Amino acid sequence: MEKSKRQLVRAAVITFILFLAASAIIAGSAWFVYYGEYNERVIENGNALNQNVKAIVEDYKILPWLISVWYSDDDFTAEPSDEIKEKFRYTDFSSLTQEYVESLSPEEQTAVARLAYFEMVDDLRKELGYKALRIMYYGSDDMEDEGCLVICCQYGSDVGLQEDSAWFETFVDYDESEHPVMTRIHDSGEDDPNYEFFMPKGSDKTYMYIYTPIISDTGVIAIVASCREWGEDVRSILISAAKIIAIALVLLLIIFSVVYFMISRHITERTGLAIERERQHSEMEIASKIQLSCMPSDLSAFDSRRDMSVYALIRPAKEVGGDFYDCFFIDDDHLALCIADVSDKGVAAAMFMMMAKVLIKNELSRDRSPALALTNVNRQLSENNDAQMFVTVWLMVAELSTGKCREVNAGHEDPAMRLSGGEWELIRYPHDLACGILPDIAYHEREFDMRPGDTVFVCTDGIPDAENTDKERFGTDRLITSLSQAGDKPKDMIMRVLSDADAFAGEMDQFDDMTMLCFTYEGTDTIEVTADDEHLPMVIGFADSKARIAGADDKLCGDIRLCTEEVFGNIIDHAYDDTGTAAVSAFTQDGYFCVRFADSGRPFDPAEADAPDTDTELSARKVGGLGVYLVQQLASDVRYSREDDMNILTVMFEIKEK
Amino acid sequence: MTINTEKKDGTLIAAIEGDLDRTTSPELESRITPMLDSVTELVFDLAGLKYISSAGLRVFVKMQKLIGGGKMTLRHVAPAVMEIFRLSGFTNFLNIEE
Repeated sequence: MEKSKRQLVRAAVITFILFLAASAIIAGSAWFVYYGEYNERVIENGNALNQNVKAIVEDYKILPWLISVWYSDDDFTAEPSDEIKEKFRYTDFSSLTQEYVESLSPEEQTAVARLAYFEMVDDLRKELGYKALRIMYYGSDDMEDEGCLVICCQYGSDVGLQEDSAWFETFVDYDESEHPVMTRIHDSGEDDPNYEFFMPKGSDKTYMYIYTPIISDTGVIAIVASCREWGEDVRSILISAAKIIAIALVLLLIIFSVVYFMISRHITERTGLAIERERQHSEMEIASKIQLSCMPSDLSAFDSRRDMSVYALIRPAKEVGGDFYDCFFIDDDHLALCIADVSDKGVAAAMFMMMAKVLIKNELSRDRSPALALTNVNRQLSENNDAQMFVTVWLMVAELSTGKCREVNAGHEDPAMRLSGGEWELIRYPHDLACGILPDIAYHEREFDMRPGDTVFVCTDGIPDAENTDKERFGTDRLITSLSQAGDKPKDMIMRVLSDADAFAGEMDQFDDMTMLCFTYEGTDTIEVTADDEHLPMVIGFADSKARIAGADDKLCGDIRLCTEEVFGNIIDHAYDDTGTAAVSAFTQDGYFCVRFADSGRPFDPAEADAPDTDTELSARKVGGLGVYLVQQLASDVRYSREDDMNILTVMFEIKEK
Repeated sequence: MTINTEKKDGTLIAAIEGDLDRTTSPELESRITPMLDSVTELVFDLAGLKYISSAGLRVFVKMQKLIGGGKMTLRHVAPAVMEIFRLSGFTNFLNIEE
């Protein structure tokens, strides 16, 4: 934003400085080169001009005579009368001879000298292009003595005649001391060096004079003086250079202004876009936070359990989807596992996801049936679902004491399962509709038993739908292969699938959330529960599932159930004054299926209990002792011991080989 | 456990389905006891009874005592339940029709 503008301004300033520096260097070197030769060239030009003037002037054979006449004529520049002009109209004054002019009358001599002056000046002007300015005298009034003609020219400028210029006027009233070089040339004829500088009074310019003497028998009779304004060329070059630099600067300024304007507008537009991007980005961040805050961040609470292990992982895509997983205990014995995928993305999807998650947990806490829970969740999600979102859900409730599981699949991916020692395979069965679409539909649950070592794996479509650069899907076959090659722990399996999916996708970006949940049922040989009626079904279920695994038939299972109820019922009723716990173990030993009950209540040996009188007349019968009696009747053996202040009662049933 | 009762001219017929155990037996007792006024014949239809424990047996003993001079009959007893009746010696004292 502002930074870009500042950078541009800084670039402009630097460019200007560099430009000025470069200009100064170029101008300086040019000045140095030029100025070095300047003197020489000025003198050369002045000398050349002087030679031309000299040639014209010396062409007049009677030059010494002319000079002497002009010298004695106070008004030699005055125009002669028309009569005289007429008389000498065709005379070539340069070719006149000394004899001829001396033969003329004094008046005629003066007139001829005056006409010759005009002709000479005219010649000079024609030949030199108006560079000859004035012919005048130098020295005292006495020509014989000191006098000299000075022919003043100006060169080096295109301004033409400058008769009124300051230099000329001051030169007319020259002071000898101001022109020492001219004085020396006049006195001695020496013309090396032949130039000097002079600043006329009242002028701010310096002029250079170059002198060339014209010498006759009588000595120096005239001096050709060329003058030019000193430094004129250099100044004009500098002025031109300054103009070019000024124009370049103005152009640069204009260019920078235009660029600045364009960049400003561009930046404004980009700033708008950036704000919009920022807004979307922060919305995504919020969605991401909502999503991740919904997950049970720490599954390590389950690590200490020996009856199962569970691992889950969510890796959100750049554009946050609505995946979530959940894993929680409904009660002591029932674990809920859930994985889900909301159809949309962004904050709205995250909110919908959160709602679904809370509803599922709430409904499950009211009833352990996942089908009933989802039926209710679906009704609530479908109401006021203006955004038309929906969520696919896989929900399972596992009874850890028995391995009994109930699962519902609402439009979700097929879970994969591996029985202990078996191979991975997808569990395919008809699914119910995803939640949030139709309010009044009933969900169905599938019941199955998990045996110790069985594992169930479920993921969201981010895994099978992962694509590689050839637009191939990872798919469920690769998923099954990946699971088969994974280690034994749920975490190993999930990490293996993730790394295989990543390796498959290669350089393709992950476009959907990847979420996985894996659960291994280990089961347990012992459950420890509070001795109350509430836990009776759990104990019975535990014993029953173990008995079935041990190979007990329905009849035997019925006997085991009855015995379990009677023994556990006795512990509930009699062992403790208040409440206590009981540990119930189930195992197979030497062909007997054993259920062992341990409690720390008051000692009770069923063998010492009075057997009920089953033959007594009913009216006289006691109702106590019947339970223990039935156990003793149904079981193959009942053993009691008191160890470490605990009652240990083992009820044994013979397992008949089929 | 579900209990369906039908009372007609001093005869109360109670059909029991499901399990009769520690948790359900008290319900059977509390349902039937108030209905025994002027009942001379009490019939339990146990066709739907799949399981019984000592708690269930006790309810029948109580019912037999409450009916006093009246007649109590257990009807349509399933084999598994019959076995418990047999073991507990109830077959000797209760009027059981298979």
